[in-house]
Amino acid sequence: MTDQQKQTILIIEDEAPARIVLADSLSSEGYEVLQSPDGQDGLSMALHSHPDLILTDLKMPNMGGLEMIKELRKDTWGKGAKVIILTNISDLSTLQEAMSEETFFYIIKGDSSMEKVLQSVKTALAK
Amino acid sequence: MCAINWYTYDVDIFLETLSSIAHSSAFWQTAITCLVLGPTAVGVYWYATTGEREKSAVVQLARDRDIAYAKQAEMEQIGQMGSFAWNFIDPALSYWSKEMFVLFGLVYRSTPPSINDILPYIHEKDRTQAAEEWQKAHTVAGKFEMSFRTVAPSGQTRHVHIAGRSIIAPDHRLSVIQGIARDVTKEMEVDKAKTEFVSLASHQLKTPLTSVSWLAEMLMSEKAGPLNPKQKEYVGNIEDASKRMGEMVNELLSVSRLELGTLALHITEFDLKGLVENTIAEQRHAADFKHVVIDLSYEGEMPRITADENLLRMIIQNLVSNAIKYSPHEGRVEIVFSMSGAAKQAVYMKVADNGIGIPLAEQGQIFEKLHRAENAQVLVPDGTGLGLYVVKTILDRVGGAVSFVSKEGSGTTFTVSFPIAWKDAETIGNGTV
Repeated sequence: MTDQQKQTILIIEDEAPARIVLADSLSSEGYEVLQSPDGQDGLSMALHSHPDLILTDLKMPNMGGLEMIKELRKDTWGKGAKVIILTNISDLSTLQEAMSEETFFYIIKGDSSMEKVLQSVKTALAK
Repeated sequence: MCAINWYTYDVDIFLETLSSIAHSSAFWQTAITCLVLGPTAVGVYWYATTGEREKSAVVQLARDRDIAYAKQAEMEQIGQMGSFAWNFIDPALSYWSKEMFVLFGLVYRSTPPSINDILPYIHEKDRTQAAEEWQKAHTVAGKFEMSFRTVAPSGQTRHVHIAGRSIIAPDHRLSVIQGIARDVTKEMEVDKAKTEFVSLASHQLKTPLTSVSWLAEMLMSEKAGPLNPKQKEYVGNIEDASKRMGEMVNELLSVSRLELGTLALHITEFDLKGLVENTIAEQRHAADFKHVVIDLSYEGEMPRITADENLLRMIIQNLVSNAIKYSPHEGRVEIVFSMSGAAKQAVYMKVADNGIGIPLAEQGQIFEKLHRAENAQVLVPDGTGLGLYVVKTILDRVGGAVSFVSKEGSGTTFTVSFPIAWKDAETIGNGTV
C-alpha cells in the first residue's frame, strides 16, 4: 500500500448522488473516503477521524460549510486541517469569507469536471 | 425676436397658412419648426433671413388652457407621469407639470428648475451618467431616453424613466428639450424580483446538474465497469447535453448578477495569450464538427493583463462560439488580437466569420437582451439571445467597447476593445470609467 492509498478524505455534501459518485471516484484512486451529509455531522466526523483532507459544500442543512470551518478552526487539530470548498455558490463575498479561513481553494462544482476535482485533491494533499 | 400669443382652434390650418406666406416671399428664406411649449401650448419657431437681415419669432397656439392644464394634471397624477419642456429660445415658455415636481420630491413652483438644479436630486450613483445624457440631449436633435433614481429631500427614492425629444432650430440653436417622465419604481421592483427568481432557480439547477455530469463522467471513465459502444455513445450524449445546460445556466446567472448589480469583478493578473488559447481550444470541438477553420493570430506581443479572467473568458467564448455557430459548413473564423496605440493600454480583438450575417433591419437590436436575429433563429433554434447582451454589458462596465460590421449572407466581423488594466466594481459603480 502506497502513502497515497493511506490518505483519508472526508466529503461533506448534502447532494447524495454527487457525494457518492465523488466518493467512488476517490476510492478508485486509492484514497480512504468518509462521507457526511451535513456540516454538523461532518464536523464531528472530522474531529473524530482527523482526515488528511476535507472537501466541503457551503450550503447544507443543520450547519453550513462556512460555520463548520469556523468551528473546525477552534480545535487544536482542526486549526491546521486541509480544507477544499466544493460549492455552487459563486457569490464572491461568501467565497472570500470562506477562503479567509485558510482553506486551500474553492471549486465551483457545476463548472468543474470530476477529473479537475481529483487534480485539486492531489495538489492539496501534496502540500 | 418676438413672442406672439395666438390662440387658435386649428393648428394645422395656421401652420399651412404661415408656411405659404413665408415661401411666397422672393427675398426671405424661411424655416418653420414645430414646438411643444407646454401641456396644451403648441407653437412654431419661425425664422427668416435675407442673408444680411434676419427675423425670428415664437408663435404660441393654444386653446382652453386652464381647463386643459387641470385635466392633464389629473391624468398625470393617475399615471405617475410628468411632462416638461425647457425652452431655450424663450425661457419664459419653459414648463414643468406638477407631477414632475412630485417625481423629484420637490415642492411645486410655477418656474421650472434648470437641469443643473435637478442634478442634486438624482441618486449619486446615477448622477454622472444622467448629466452626460442631458448634455447629449443638448447637442443632438431627436428622441432620447434615460433612466435614473431620484432622491427626494425626504429620502424617498424613485426610479424615473424619461422619454424626450430635443429640437434644434433651423439656425442650429437648441430650441426645446421636452418629454415625459414616468415613475417606474414598481416595474423596477417586479423586474428585480424576476431577476432574483432566475438567479435562485439557476443556482438550484446547478446542484442536480453537477450530479448528472459527474455520474456521466464516472460511467464514461469505465471505473464502474466497461460500457459497450452504444452505451458509450449514449453516455457521451448525456455529458454533452449536461455541459450545454451548464453553460446556459451560467449565462442566466451572469445576466441576473449583472442586472442585480451583484457581479463583483474578481481582478487578477494573468497571461492574456494563455487565456485566449485555452478558451479557443474549448471551442475546437464545435468547429471541427462543422469543419470550420479557426485562424488565430496575434499582431505583436500580448501582455499580462489585470482583469477578471472569467468575464474575459465569457466575452471571448461568446463571440467565437457565435462565429462558429453561424458559419457555414467548412467556413472560416478569423480571430486577431492586437494592442492599440503607442501606449498599448488597450487590447483589440477581431472575430470575423463568413457566416449568415445580421440582417440590416436587426442590426440596431442585436445587443438587446434576448434578441435573436430572424436568420439566426432559423439556423440555431435553441440559442438564448443573451450572449451579445452579456458581452456588451461587461465591456460597458470595464470601459471597453464592442462594434460590428455585417452583411446578411456574407458574414460578420466583431471588434472588441478593453483596457489592459480593468478597474474594480466599486470604481466603475462611481462612474469614473
